[in-house]
Amino acid sequence: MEHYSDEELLKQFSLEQSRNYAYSLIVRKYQQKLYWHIRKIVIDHDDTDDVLQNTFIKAWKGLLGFKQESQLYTWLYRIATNESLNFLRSKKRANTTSIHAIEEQLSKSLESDNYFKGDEIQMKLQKAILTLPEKQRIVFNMRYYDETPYEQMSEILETSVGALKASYHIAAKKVEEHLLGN
Amino acid sequence: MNEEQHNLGDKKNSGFGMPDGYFDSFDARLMKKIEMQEELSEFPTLSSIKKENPFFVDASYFEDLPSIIADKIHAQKAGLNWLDKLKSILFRPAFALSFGIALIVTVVFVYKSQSIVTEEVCNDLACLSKEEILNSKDFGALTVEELMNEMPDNSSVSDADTVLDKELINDLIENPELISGDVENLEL
Repeated sequence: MEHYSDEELLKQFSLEQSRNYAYSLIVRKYQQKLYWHIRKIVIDHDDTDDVLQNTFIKAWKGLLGFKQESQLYTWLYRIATNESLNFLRSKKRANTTSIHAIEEQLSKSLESDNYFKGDEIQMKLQKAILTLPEKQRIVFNMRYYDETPYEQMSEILETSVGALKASYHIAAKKVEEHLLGN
Repeated sequence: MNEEQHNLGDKKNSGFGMPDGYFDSFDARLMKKIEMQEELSEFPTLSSIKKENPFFVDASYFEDLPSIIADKIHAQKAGLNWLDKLKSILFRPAFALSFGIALIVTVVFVYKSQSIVTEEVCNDLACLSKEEILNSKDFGALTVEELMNEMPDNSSVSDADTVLDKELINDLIENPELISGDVENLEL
């Protein structure tokens, strides 16, 4: 399945008779990458599952009008990022007791997460990352864990390369300080 | 490296394999690794942590996900199909024309029936202005008693109408010549 290029998959998708099959291949090709991208933002597996499904449903609706001005991979990542941020915002709206309530909530769900296998230092690092503002957190995760090139991040997050480099540097500094402070 | 050394290297490595194109992208991968390390060179604690994904998920999750998503999409499509059918009926030219004609007919009918109701109701003193009553030739032949009998029941008219009627009666009582006389020249 991985051997199909995005161009081939999109061509198959544009034909009605092969649309469903092509889309199942697109889902199979990108589900894991998008899952991990979303998971690092929303932390909880069940929330990630919801956001990921919404991402693919939205992508289905938009794919017929997809003009290929950007790559399929970039476009899907953008939808996933927006869906994750919208999810966190809706959670924030529901929980208005404190400005940092959502970060505290994510940190707590990390501690009780059955799908977390990291050791103590990994837990410390994740908690440090959770102290970052959400967009800075996305930049940090994409660069630190996925080693995404800045040019690709720039397309996905619609932010200049310079701003992303600065954002990553500030985020890494905050994480370092948090690790030293705790 | 001369040809002899090159061949020697090949002989020594025989039996071992590597991914296709390994050396094609080796320098790019090396440069990326150096760049990543340089970016974190100021942060020794962060650099010392082993970079690994601390989360995991059941292996079967990714096996089942495509069919779950396909089911959800089909369910939404079925809902959309129903809406599409309705839209296709509503926006059909014949339907739009029929609907337009029906709308015009309804508007005309409602307007006409309201006009008829107004004409039917407006045959007593309650809905006539004082000028209309006094200028009416037929009305001039009535006596005060007959005129009183023509008055509508107070319960069915508004206060404003009642006041108007009382004023009219008072005018007629004070000027009895108006009842049978010429009302054309009356100054109000």
